[in-house]
Amino acid sequence: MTMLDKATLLATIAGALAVAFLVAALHFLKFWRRTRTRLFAFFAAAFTLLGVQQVSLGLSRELVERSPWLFGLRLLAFLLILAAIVDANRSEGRTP
Amino acid sequence: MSADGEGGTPSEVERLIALVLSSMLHVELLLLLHRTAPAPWDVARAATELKVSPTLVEPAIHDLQRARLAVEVAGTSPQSWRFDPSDDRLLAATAALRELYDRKPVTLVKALYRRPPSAADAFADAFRLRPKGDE
Amino acid sequence: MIDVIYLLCAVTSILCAVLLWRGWRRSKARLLFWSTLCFAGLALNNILLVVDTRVVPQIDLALVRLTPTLLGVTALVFGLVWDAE
Repeated sequence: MTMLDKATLLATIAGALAVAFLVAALHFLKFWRRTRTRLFAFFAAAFTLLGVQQVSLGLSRELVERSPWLFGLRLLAFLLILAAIVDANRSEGRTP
Repeated sequence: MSADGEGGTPSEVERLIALVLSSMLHVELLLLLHRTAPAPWDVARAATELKVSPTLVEPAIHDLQRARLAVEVAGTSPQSWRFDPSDDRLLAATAALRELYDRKPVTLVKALYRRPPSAADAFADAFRLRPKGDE
Repeated sequence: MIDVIYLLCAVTSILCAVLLWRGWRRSKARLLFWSTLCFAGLALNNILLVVDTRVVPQIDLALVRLTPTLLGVTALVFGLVWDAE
């Protein structure tokens, strides 16, 4: 029986995290389709970006973002979430 | 006649509201299917009839289907649905809804607004700094 | 500069966690409870990124960073699947 090494453990966790982000994004997408509330579109996009970022991170075999591209994805995801909150408070947030 | 709920709404209508009627559009769509049964309606035609956007009708018709009030009519293009409650209780509840809509529409509107929000509604509402409704 | 990005992400996550917590207290919708955990995990993730890169660069905190994040997002997915009609 081989011992689980740290790199494999991290890769497993990172992979699971990527899938979890994408599954969450799909659910938000479903909520958007159902309720037409813009907040869910923002969240679906944000979580998709976080999932993509996690996959890119894993493929680049880095554990911390070093390229601006990977920072950008994370930043964009959280800016979308902020945009969702701002939008929710400015307007009704959906077509009546 | 079943026992009245709050403000004169029959309990079966309250149940329908809690189950699937999350908006007036849902009510009018259901009543449209009910009064023209068993005629099939597709999203575009129903939207025109109800004078609303088809993007709102689409999720509503799927909600009604999930609640076993409407079924897809096989082999129709574009995809159509008709009124087809899966049991007598739903049929009776729809009839009671029709009566309430015709005779006491304000009561119906109030009952709709009293509806507890779905998890998705609650999630979206959480992000309002000044939440909807009095709490 | 990079720290600013991480801190912005952390603040956004904390804001979401607080709003969702408040919403859960108000509406009792369990999805919001799981969602709070998710954003708490994301906040922790971003804060730990700053710690990992700036405060203790000699120690690799990857496992410490990723575990709460995974737990948080898994909690959200659980809530979405189980508690959202």
